[in-house]
Amino acid sequence: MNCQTIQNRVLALPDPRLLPDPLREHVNACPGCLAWWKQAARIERILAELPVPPAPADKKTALLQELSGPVIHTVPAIERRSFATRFWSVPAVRTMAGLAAAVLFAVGGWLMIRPGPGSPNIQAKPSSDPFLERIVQRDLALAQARTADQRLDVLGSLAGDLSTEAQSLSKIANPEELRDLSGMFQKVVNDGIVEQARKLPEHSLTQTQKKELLNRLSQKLLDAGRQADEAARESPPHAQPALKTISETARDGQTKLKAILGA
Amino acid sequence: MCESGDEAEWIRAAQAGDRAAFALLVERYWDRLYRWLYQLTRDRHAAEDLTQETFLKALSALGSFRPGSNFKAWVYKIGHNNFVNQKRAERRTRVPLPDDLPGSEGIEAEGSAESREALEAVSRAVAELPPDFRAALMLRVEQGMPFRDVARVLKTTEETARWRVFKARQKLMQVLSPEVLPPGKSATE
Repeated sequence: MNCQTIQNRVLALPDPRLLPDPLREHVNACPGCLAWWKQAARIERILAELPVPPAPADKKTALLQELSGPVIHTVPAIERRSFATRFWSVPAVRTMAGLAAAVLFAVGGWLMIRPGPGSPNIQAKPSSDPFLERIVQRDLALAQARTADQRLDVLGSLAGDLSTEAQSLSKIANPEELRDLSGMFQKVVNDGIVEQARKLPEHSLTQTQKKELLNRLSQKLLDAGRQADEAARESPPHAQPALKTISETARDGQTKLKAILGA
Repeated sequence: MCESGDEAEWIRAAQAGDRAAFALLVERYWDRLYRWLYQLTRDRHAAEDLTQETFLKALSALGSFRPGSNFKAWVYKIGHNNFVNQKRAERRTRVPLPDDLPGSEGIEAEGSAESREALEAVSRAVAELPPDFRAALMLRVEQGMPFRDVARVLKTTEETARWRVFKARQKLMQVLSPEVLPPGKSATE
């Protein structure tokens, strides 16, 4: 075996620092390969210990607190053999519960790290925050919705809540907080409204009902997009990317809803 | 690799609705997943958001996890899907991913025998690797995953996973010559 072959075999090992005997024999006897191997082993070691900056918002703690606290969002109760169990076993409902829980968790975590006005270290209690209360209400409404159109209406309202909150905070919140809100808005629009509208059961609504529902949602998205555009004109530069994301997501969602309606 | 006895118990409890059990899984894997996602995104905000999103999705999809299979690979696969989706969304909205430049504040080199310069040189070289190769390399080297699990996370074959790790190492050897890589505090090999 020549040196190039040896070196390729070393790089293909699970760990190049641990040489099997045939390769070790060559490396020990060949000064060029020995120097090369020392460099390869050093890079491998550095890769394993590359430092990373600490996470900026401690969302891990927020999530762990959320998990250890009382259940404030609806999650399927697996042990119960009740109507609720059967209800939650419907795949579309489970998907919606996941989305609602995701938004609620994200909002809960976000509120824990969000600075209060004039006091950067104050930790807002989720239960006393009107925004979180609204989200919890939407979450419950989502859990109680029996039909796809009811769920879509709640999601439309949830998107409106998130957009309004981003607009009202656009002059005081920092870019990360606004980005979190715009991310939640994207999730509700893309994973929620558009995805669920695509999956509307064929015969659950008449064509007229479907048209009314999707037009209603389109109007909500249109309003959210326009308001985000208006807020962006009066907001500081750091707030504009998040508002622009909301505006573009709303427009994009509106276009997709129209396409679904036309399909 | 299947999960340990403790972990299997936590998963069973979490699947039955025990939130505290899921919290134990979050505690076990959050930091490792964040480290890997940071290497993919080079942005600590994005990495933290993706880590959070991964666990929330894992929580909502826990019912679909097959007990006895590899929970770590399953969670990382969700994380990788999130990363890929985020990249797609960025391409659509044309918002460039903000970079945390390697070596910027917050990166601590303490506890390493290597100099800060050496760590930064390797970090920069890793950042230049194509994302698929970087993802495979860091799963193998930093996270210690067998090639089989690397393939599972990245939804590819074991052969491709091996090839990506090999090519990534080869590239690093090309760009990190001894002249480029400053000596460590204790240059022992």
